[in-house]
Amino acid sequence: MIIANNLTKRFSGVVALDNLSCHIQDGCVYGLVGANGAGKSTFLRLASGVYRPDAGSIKFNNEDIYENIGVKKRFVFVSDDFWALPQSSMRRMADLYASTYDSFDFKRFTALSKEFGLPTDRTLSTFSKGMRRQAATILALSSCAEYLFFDETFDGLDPVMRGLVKQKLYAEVFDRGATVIITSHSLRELEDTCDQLALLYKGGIVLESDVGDLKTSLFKLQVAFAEEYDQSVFEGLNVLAQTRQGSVSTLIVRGDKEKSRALLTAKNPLLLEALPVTLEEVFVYEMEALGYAFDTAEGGNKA
Amino acid sequence: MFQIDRFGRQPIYEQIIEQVEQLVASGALRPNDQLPSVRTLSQTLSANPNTLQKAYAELERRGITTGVPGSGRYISRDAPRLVSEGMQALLTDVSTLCEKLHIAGVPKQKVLDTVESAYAVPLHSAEKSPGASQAHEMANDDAQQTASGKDVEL
Amino acid sequence: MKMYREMMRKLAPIGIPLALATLLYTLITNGQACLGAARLQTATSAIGLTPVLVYYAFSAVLFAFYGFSFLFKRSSSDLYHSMPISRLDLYLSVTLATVTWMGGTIVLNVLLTLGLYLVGGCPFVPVYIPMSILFYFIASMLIYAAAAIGCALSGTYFMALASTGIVLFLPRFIQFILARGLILQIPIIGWLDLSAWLDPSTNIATGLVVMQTRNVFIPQIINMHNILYSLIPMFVELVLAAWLFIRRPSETADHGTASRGWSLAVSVLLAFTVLMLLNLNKSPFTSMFDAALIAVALLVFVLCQFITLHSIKTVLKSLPYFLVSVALAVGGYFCINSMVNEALVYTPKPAEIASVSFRGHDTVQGGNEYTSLLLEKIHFTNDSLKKYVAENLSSAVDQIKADREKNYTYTDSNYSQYTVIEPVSITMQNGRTYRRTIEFSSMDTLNELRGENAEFQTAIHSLPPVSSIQYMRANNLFKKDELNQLWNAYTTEAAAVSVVPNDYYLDHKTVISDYGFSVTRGDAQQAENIYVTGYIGNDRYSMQVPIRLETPKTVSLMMQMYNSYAKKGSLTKLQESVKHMLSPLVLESDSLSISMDCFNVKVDSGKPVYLNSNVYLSAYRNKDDQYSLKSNKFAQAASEILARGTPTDDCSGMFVGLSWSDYDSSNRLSTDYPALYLSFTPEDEAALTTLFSNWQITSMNGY
Repeated sequence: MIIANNLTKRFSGVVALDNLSCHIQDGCVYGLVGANGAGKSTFLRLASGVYRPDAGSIKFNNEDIYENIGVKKRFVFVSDDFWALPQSSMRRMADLYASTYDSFDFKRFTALSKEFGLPTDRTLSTFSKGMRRQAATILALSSCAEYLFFDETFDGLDPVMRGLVKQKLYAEVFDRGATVIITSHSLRELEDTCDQLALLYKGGIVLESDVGDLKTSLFKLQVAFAEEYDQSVFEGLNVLAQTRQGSVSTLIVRGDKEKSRALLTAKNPLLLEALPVTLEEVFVYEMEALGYAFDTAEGGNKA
Repeated sequence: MFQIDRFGRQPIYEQIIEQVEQLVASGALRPNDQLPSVRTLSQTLSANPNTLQKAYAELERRGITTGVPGSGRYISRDAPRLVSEGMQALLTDVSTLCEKLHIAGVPKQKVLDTVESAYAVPLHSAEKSPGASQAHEMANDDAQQTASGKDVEL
Repeated sequence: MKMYREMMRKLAPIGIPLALATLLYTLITNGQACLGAARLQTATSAIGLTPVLVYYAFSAVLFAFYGFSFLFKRSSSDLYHSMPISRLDLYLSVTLATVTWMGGTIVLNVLLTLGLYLVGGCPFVPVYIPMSILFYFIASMLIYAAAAIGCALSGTYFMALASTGIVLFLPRFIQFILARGLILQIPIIGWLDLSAWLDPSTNIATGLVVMQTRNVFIPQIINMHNILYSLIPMFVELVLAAWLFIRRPSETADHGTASRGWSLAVSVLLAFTVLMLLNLNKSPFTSMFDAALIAVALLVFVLCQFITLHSIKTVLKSLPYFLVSVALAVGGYFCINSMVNEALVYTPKPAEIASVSFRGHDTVQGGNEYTSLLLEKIHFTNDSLKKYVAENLSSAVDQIKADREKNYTYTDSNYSQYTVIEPVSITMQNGRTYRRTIEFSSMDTLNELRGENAEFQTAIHSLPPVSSIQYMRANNLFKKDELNQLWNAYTTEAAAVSVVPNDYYLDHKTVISDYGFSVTRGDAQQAENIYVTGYIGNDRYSMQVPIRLETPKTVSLMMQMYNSYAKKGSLTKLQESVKHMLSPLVLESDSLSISMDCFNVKVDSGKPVYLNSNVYLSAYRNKDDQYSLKSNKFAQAASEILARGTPTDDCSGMFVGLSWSDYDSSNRLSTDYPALYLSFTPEDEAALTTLFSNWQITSMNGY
């Protein structure tokens, strides 16, 4: 398990991560979402031992990660900006990986490259951006590390490739108990890939939860009554937000859907509909509930 | 077997649970039928295995499936009964709907006609649906004995 | 270590081409030197074993920058630092791979040179083989370490280069400016007189740069003392580079440096470097050039700051730090001044001196005479000499003090042909040793006083032992066994007659006199020179040994050898050639050059003198030119008499060594006629005497 505790990182006086705490369970697909510049890349680099914390800690099974070779042997990091040795091919980069990762599997590398249709002997500079991302992923998978860190690697990948990559990742998670940590600035990207999600906002984690729980924690109710009504009719419901047009109120409610419906049904509404909410809406309302005045235009969750 | 709408608003985990219950209700899935493994499902649907694991765990909690260690998940003997009990709850919805229709001024006979035509559909035709045969194929993938095809009686 | 193999592979695109290029260069240059006709004149010193002098300097920096290239881009830096390898292992892998490639190339080149020497039969000192490997390896690693420090401190190539330059050159640059400032103001202190902390040759990496501009260091630069000393900064810097590398945060990539303190320091130090140049003048801050230099320094400071800070406002806020550069440069000025004043204080009294020794007048220009080699080992203790040294030193110091405004140098002094400048080591009674280069008013007095010492007498009479000689050359004519024969004859006779080979140590007033123009008389007349070089232990020496008439048997042998090479009928040919040059048939590019060494010419009542008469006839000259006409007349008259000469090996009477060459432009043929030694009848002798005497005056005056 990877645990960050009051993790702080500064660059030239600017605070990138501010007392960040989170924990990443083994075997999950953990998504970290946040606006550009929120600190996702910084966090990932601290987690994979590239950066050193300025204050606080980030530990794997209670050991510091920075310069800890025993831990880093089990980690592999894929950045959004894939770098290759000049004039090198995938095969050459595989040699580089193999020089540090004892567990690097060349057979796997060859098989994956074939499956993705990537030539291992061609110079990487001739690859398109998408192909380079795939190459990076293949190299990471071939290292057979149990903890894979992907920094916005899948953003912008075409759906077919993304599907193929996801399949590989899920196989890793299921077969070998791997843990995958992905950052993205798009919630839409992460929604159906991850089972854990965290929202990074202004250098800290403001929301961290199981995806399923998030989606079922809130629901929307549309209700209308024949008579005039006021707030008191909604007593007993945990209403996070509501709007009203005429006699129709739309409520965002947290709690048990059936119980809430029953409560309202008892009051004989003219109209009662339960609607699902998108994860985006969940985030927005949860943030508001936490006290963050959230303007989607400036940052935060965008599809 | 499972038609997952990834871009819909309903979480995958809920969709799986719902669909298993529907298939049990329609008789497409019967007690002792094996459900596809999480791994196979994950690969076919490109879905997060943890999420699928959760769905299956919920099904087990509800008693609809039983897990045999080392051998997979099977529809439990009580499943049809449990599902139909769950379906009973739908009657409340029917009641609410009827009230609405009543208020809206829809004639009762129309509603009764609709009920009649719905019940006129024979019960086991669902077997012939592609979903059912798919379910059996996926179960076969898990190295089970081939299920005998059932003749459809219309 | 797997990363070591990976780094070996990474550096191969630099290592292999460099290795091949240097091996090729070594093969061609040293091959030519060892196997070609120039072989006999090759100087085999450790420098000659060099791969390529430039290689060690640039390759070290290249290997460092290429090996650590991943540090300069965020994407590559993050990748390497995310991998399961410690920073120390990364550093060691690059360093060991560099050692392999660079060290391997150096060893291969030296071994190749060794092979060429063996095949070509060129003599060399065996210990120079391992010594030069050690020398180049340590020098290269010193540079590599500086570059590694530069890379560890920086995130961009620019900063890395600047940092490398500072680490490598700044300390020695400061030392150089201080030393030069001292030497400029105190002419009695030369580059070889400096104390250890000002000696630029101890750091062998930067020392080779100094050697390019100050030839005096050429014999000094490669010695075990300097090599071993340089090991210390090498190790210290390698360890420092490792420490800095381990502490380096990955996020430094793409940003100037790891710490803002260091980027500021770089700007301050680079500006300081420019400002230090002001100390090249004795009195800085006095000219327009100095003002311009200060402006340049300020510009350098601002530019460097801007490159790292990117914002004009913050650059302007840091301007006050420029004053640190100024303060440091001013500090340098005061340091030089205090050293100068301290040097001028030292005027010992004879009683305070324990002994003096002399390093040889030729070392001031980077020479290495055999006599000097023996001389520097002698400790003179006679009081008269101590007094003479002390007096001359005091007088020099007084003159410097008096003429400080006028920038006193030795060229200002009362120069006479007897004034000499010699480097002296003075050991005091309290054990301290001072080294000064002192001007002595009379070389004869100096030699006389030194002559009181028996070791000195032995030294000035000594010739190098035959076994130590590696090259011998007299002229392009004699073969090796003839030279050896000549040498043996000379050494035997010289010992018997007690010859002082180096006329620097002869008494000038009595033996060599002024005849209006320099002539040599009697036994001092010189017939030939034998040039030898060799090694005593690891010390290389050279010597020019004159064969004078004081050793007549040797001169006689030499004359025989020359005459054996004479071309048949050359005297007749000479006359024909002269006739041709004077005839209308002569072509414009034709020429004739005649050289006559005339020995034992009786010009006056004193001892007979040596006269050298040369005449050059060329049809190119204006026919009305007075000098041409006289030349023609002289040539005609001389050749007529010379035709009557008889080959001789008798050097007791008057004789002439005649050599000439002509150029026939119609056939583009140049013919050389080597020296022929002739004697004449008394009448001819008299005629020649008059002829040559008059020609001396003519040729001196040019008309």
